[in-house]
Amino acid sequence: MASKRIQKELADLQKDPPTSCSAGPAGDDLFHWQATIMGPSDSPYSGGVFFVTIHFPPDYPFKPPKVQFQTKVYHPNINSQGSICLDILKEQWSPALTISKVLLSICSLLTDPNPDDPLVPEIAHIYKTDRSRYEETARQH
Amino acid sequence: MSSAVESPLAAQPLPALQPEAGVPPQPAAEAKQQQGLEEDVKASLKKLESFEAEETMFSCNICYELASEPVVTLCGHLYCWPCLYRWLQVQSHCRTCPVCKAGVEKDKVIPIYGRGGNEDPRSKSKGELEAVPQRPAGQRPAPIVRNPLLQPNVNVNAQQGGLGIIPTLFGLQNSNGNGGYAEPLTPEQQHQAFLSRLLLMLGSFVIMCLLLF
Repeated sequence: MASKRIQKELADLQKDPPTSCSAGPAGDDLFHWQATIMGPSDSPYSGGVFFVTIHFPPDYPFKPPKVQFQTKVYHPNINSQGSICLDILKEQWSPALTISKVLLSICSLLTDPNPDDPLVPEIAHIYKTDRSRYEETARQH
Repeated sequence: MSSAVESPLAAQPLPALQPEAGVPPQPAAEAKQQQGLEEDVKASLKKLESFEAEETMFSCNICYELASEPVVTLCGHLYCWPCLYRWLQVQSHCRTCPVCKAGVEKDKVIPIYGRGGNEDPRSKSKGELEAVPQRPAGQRPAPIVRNPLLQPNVNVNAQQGGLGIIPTLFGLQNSNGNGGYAEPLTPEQQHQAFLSRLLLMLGSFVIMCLLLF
């Protein structure tokens, strides 16, 4: 069931590709994808291209996919290992969600960080207290 | 060389394609055939598109395929029963609809029975059957009859005003007489309804007798 559903998502992505991101299998393994996200224009990440790996669990879509940034990102909710703190990738996952929606959510997380539920408290603190310094550092990354 | 190839072709003219009379209809016939073929292709493409649209309209929100053993939640979202059952098993703390996060209870989903595709459950492997129980059966509310003229029993009860609350007990679903629209009861149901009313009347009569004498 998982592979059929992943194939459907891939077909949908090819038929109607989302703006600002792309995704597809990294190799022959359908359960291992590579995606790219363009930094949203209304964020300090504008102009950046971020590589993301996606691992589908065998019981997908009942369990969320594992999504990790390969590119380093300076963000309150993304740590140096590339782990993302996003509710829909954890307890708020729903089998009605798709990779395309997840990537879109990551895009909006880049635009609007959630400093109240940080993965990197130091960045969250800077984001809250000194927004211009945060934007500057994010842009340099 | 080429003439040698052509000559045998020319040597056996097709009966319909005789020179003079036969030549002009040929391109027309071909064009017609091609047009027909194009139309065929267009029609089948359209069919395929509409089939796809139909499939997405009636596909399960979990596996994205045409729902098998379809059930619909109270919030209106369609799933395969095995898919929804599995999701509800995975969710331990609070069971929600994958699409809208409304509360979902296993025994409160509505099964959809289409014309076809009702598989014989015996054809499934035993292990599968044990893992996913049968989807809940549909509820069968009594039909609502809006025309009192089609329900002589109701009138009989309504006329017995002396029995106080009893007529309301009898004619609960049948007493709203607005609109001329009626869903006829089957004779069996009518008979049953009549019998139950008769029994109730007899019972109340006995109770009244006991109270009075």
